[in-house]
Amino acid sequence: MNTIEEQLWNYIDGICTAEEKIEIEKKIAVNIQYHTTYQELLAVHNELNKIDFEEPSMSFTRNVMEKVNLELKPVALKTKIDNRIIYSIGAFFALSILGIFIYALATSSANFDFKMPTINFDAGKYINATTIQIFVLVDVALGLLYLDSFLRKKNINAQKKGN
Amino acid sequence: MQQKETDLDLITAVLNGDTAQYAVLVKRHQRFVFTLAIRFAKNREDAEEVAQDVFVKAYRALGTFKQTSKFSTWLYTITYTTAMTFLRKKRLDTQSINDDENVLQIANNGNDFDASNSAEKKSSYAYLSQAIDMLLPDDAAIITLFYKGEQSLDEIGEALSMEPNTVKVKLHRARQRLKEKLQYLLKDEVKELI
Repeated sequence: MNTIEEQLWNYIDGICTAEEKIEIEKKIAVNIQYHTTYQELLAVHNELNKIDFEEPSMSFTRNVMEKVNLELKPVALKTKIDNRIIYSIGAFFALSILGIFIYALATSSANFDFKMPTINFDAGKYINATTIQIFVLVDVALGLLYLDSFLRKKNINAQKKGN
Repeated sequence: MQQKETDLDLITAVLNGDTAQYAVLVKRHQRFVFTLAIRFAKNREDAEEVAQDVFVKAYRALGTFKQTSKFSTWLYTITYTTAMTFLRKKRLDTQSINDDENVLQIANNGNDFDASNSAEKKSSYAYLSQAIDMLLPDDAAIITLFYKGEQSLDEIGEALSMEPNTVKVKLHRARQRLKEKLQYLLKDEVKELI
């Protein structure tokens, strides 16, 4: 259960619900204790709003910059890892695997006498106007989903740039 | 008319090698970082040291700033941790939030205040500043962040590594203590201020 002061501070700070606000306003209007405490807290709140900043010495910025200039230049974490390095490593492994595979094929003496199994599948039986329509419909739906995600990303990027 | 560059523009420029732009960021945030540092350090010399340390640490870690939160919130997190480290080094007890003896000791050590004869000479603002100085560092920092840092409870929680609800409770308690300090300082004059 909140004390009177807590309720009143929430009211002054504007962090109570609309219902609580109405209830507290009623109490302030009719209850002398609420009214007096509210006036006191409001006065403290108003005084606190008048607090001013402390001013550091005139040489503060210069002193900071002198120290900062002795430090290494900061680099964004995102750019610390160069994408080209990642791609180079990926390409190296892909080429290595491909090279080994080609070498293995070239030097292999295995006889690839292999017959493909035959499948009795009458495509004409299944491919008709209805299946083509369903296929096109699914394609259109997938296309729209992709377009939607693309536009969303574009919108988010535009908002970020705007900020 | 040239538009004021945002914090993110300046950070991007610094990360792209234009380190001179960091001075603009420092100038923009130095007053608040210093104010926050003084809430912990309790004197200007130490606060200046802490605040400078904060900006150097922020510069070193600028590449890790994720840009998912405000730069100021990120900077206040560094300020808080740097100030806490500083306090630990100074062996000041910042753990107990109910240790009023310490608060009074800090206040008495830091000021030669005589409430009985100087009440009329000081403005309400001076009393408020003095009352904030008498608060424990955590309380003073939360009040400063809330009223001057333009930080929401969520953002303060992020900066101080606390749950927003904990920040809310601490803020209530801090203001309550501040009210008590003002009453202690002003005695009979308190009604004029609050």
